[in-house]
Amino acid sequence: MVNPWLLLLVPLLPALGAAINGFRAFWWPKTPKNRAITNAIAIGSTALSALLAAYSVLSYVRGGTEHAFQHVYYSWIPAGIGQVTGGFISNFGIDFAFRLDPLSCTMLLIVTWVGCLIHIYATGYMSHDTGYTRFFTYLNLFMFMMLLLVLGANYMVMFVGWEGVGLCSYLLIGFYYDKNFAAEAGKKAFIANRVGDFGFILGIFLIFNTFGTSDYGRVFAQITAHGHAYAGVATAICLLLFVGACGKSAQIPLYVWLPDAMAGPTPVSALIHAATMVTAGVYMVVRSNALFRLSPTAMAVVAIIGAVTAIFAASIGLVQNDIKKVLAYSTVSQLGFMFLAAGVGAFTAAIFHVMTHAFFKACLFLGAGSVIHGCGGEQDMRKMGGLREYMPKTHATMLLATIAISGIPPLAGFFSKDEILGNAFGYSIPLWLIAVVAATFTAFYMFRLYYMTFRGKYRGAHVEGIEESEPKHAGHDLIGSHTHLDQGDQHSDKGHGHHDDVHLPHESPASMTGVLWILAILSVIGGLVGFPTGLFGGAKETIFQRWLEPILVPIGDHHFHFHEASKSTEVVLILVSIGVAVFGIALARRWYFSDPSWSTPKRLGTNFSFIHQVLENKYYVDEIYNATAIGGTVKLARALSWFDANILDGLVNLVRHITVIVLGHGSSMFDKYVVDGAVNGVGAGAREGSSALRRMQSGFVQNYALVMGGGIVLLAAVYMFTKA
Amino acid sequence: MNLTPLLEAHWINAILPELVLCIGGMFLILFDAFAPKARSLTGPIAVVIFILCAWSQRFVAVGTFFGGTYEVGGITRVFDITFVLAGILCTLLSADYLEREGITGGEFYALLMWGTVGMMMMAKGLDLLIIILGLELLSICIFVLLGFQRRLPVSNEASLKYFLMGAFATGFILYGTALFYGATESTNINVMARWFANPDVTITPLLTVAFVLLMAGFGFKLALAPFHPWAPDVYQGAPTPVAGWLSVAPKAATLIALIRIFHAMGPVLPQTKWMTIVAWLAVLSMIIGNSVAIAQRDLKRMLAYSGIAQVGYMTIAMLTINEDAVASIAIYTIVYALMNLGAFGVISMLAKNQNDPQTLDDIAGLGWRRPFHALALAVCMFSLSGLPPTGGFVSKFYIFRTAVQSGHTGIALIGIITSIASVYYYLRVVYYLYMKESAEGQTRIDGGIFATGALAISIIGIFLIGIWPTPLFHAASYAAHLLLAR
Repeated sequence: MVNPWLLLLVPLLPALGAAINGFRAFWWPKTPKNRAITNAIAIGSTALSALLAAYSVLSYVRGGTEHAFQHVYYSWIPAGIGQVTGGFISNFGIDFAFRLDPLSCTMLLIVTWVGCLIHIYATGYMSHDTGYTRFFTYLNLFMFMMLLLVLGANYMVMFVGWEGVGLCSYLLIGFYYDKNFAAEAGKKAFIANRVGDFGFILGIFLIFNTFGTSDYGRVFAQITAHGHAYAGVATAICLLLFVGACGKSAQIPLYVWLPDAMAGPTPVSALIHAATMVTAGVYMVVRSNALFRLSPTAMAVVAIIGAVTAIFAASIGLVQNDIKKVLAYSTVSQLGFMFLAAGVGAFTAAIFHVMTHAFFKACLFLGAGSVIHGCGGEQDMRKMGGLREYMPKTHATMLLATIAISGIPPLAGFFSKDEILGNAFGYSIPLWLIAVVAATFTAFYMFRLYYMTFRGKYRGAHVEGIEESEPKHAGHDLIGSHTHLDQGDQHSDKGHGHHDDVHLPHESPASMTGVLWILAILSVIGGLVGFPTGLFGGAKETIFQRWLEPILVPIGDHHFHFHEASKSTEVVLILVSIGVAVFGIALARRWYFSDPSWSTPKRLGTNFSFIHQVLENKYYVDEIYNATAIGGTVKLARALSWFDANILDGLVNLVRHITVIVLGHGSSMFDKYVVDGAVNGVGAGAREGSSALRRMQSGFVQNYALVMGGGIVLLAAVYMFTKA
Repeated sequence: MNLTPLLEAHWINAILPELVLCIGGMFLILFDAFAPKARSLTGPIAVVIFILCAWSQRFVAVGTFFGGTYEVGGITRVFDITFVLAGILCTLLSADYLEREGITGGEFYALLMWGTVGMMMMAKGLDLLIIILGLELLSICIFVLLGFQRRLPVSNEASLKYFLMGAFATGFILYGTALFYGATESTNINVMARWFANPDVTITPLLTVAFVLLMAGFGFKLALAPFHPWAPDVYQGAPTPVAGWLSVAPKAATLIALIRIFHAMGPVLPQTKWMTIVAWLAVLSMIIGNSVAIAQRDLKRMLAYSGIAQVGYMTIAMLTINEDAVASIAIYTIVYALMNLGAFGVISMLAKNQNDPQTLDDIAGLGWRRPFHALALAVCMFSLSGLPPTGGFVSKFYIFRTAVQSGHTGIALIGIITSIASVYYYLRVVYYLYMKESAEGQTRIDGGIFATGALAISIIGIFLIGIWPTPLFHAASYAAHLLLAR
């Protein structure tokens, strides 16, 4: 049996860590803090939480995974008392409850263990940052919220975590708040997520309204019991929920914040913006699979948005030169793959890809962080190159992760991506084609990144021969360069063979490379749980599918079936996906390795300058949004404010002119005798301000009276023109 | 002729909290006059008197008093606690504020207490005249408190503006009351309720006029749109703790008075469009409050518009008076007192001339300079925007749930949508606190031990209600049950 109180400790320990470190970081910001204590608290709490999570999962699995384990800690918001309007409506309360089932177990292990590893990595990466303790405060707080999100047994607890991780995300994106663009990026993430949360909270509201509860178990039980009676409302619910997922998981049209979110420190990019938080949308969709399966429309929307995002972001990734930007667009693209999987009904494949992606993308981001760290804050791949010699460990681990994401068997990415492609093929050939092209792009841009960074000759800052043709966003991309440049200098004391005049790259400390190795190994072997045993005469379902099967509840008497294709089709599909990966890799090798002057891509860039421009500027989506949605909203708010402050004046002035004619000097008499008289009564001191008194901030007192009078007219109008 | 004795047994117990505050206020004035050297003690003494008042609730007799004009019950106790809480928070915040602004005078706290008495009368009055009496007692105290900084034009302006507009509003309420009296032949709410319960009653246009006038007057006190324009100017000019108090406590008192009136009208409401009017007021308030607040850079003006929106949410629950509605309003007012006074509290500590606007730039980077105060402001903003796990989320959830269960799904949806939009301007404050470098010549924060204590009460209360609201729910629901069981 799972011990519910140990399970409760899993999120509470990081919360405690955040509280202690937060106290230390904010109350004595000036005093130098002992890093060892910060480390002990931050890593200790997450490591213990990871161990407890593993223990809880083990004890859950030992008790059988057929039924979810659920524990109500207390009734958070009790149901109202006289509300027995029939049936389940009386259950309108919310419990603070946790739920363990194969889905939350999977997410729990990913979040705690990858989170713990990234904490360890960050001790090395952030070692010279002045905001060290503050950073770990936010990171621990994030862990707490993320764990609430995955452990919660109802949509409301999930919502708490959902908002919480969003908050931590903004705080961490804007961590280098003294850099203007970092704060701007935080704001952008915030706004995009607000739009998403609009949908999410309305979806929850609709779930509440339809099922009378937000508890997963009860909602799904009702779907099982009443089957397709909810089909109509399910479409609305699912589309609203999916808007929320688009915001959190950076799908079209709300993906714009994620590339900018790279302004945060790199461990944050790895943990929050690659491995965990951005997959919350996928988790939520898979969690709600019973609802989504009720609505083929919603499923189709999810699949199409996912596929389009996958190819759209991958195409932008083809031409980016900032190492983190490439990875960011890659993340958006991979998230698109996950939604494609969920949309075509392969919910287990979606979660499988969440898992493998967490391994290899965390490894890639952390490797990129190591590269940036080693190159003294440089993020432009055109100024890297040849790092294999300087950073052998980073090179080896990143190469493994790059192969994994490209989809070469038997590394992790292959199995999950192949499962998605296979399912997409069964659902719709066009979607499959899009996904295959996106997969080709992925292999290409990832190996482009690899060759530009690690092979060839080092083209660092002091090496001649690279033209300064940085696009105008260059300043935005040099994330935290200031901080890191300082770090680089201090690092040289540690004796990595630096010369004072030439700043050569150096390998990162063991706390960073050790984590890289663990993640690289996971990227290699992590996919084996999804080994298609069916092809070799084994069980039809993979281990991972069987593990997740209990969360796919039946609808009515309609049980969930995994996609099945004939063996020959499957073999062909596998060959295709390996083939496109190899093609992408070969192309990258040919263009960026065999020809060190990169003449082909440069020539293509000039010959097809329009396409190149469009891709380089990310399809001008930011510009379009700024011109339309954001500009429009700002204008609207200003207009309304202006309306409130001025239109009353204008209106009233007009009326006053008429009044003056009609009533002669009545108005001025009012001022003179009533207002001034009152002022005199207030006291001598007031006389100084009596001129200010008459002319109020935004109008005359009479105007307000007039507004009130107008209000009454309005009420009367409402009365006359509405029906009871 | 009904010969009920005017003074029932235990009448003293019925008005014990009011008596404590009345006498306490007089004592403070005398103390101030005869012991001018011990002036710094007036604040702490005021807090003690408020606590005494809360403690005296233990001895309060429940029932109807003074010839059926004064009703003491569970719900009035809940609201008394809100008023006392607002009074204590305001006193704590003022203690340091007044000293810094160079204002002396025990009458400040005395006025606060007497204003609280007025609110208690509004909450307990079972007669429209008693409610108006309480309202006027409250208003007079507010006029003086608003203009307490005699030397500042803005303060005078605020006072005068509130005075003129308040007089106007009271006129409406009185006129409406007179019309109701003409129809129902009584100002007693119970008698009116019996008249409304009569199945043969016809709703004449005159009654509708009376209702509209009443709503206009009370709408002014609540700062409901379109009766809101005074609020931003008055809050901006008022001494900041008073502005916080004004934005909270009188609204609570007005709401409970309206609950009584609406409940009495209950039987005829389905055949009138009166509640449509109220619904429009709520919708307008939510939309105007939330959208205009986005464009504000002055913190007090922003909070004024936010308050307009918040009262719009509370009004949603009034559309159908049932137990959940009353309980949710009671809870919302308590949470609102905590979070809004907390927010005004931090602003009141910005050591800046009252005359100058206190804008977002003044709090830039506060997170690094004064972590506790920044945290308090951030928590209040989270709560105001309704993010879990704060009290603001719980109370807002309760309000919207009540509205949905009563069939006002559309209006609840507008509430939810506008409240999501509101997160933008609330969290912009947090953004300035933690993600902006403080400007040159940064504004200092002057917070003494009392003000800090008030903020601590706010933070703890917000999280306590946010994480474990059950006891409050049960108390409020039970009190609401008793109120409506008659």
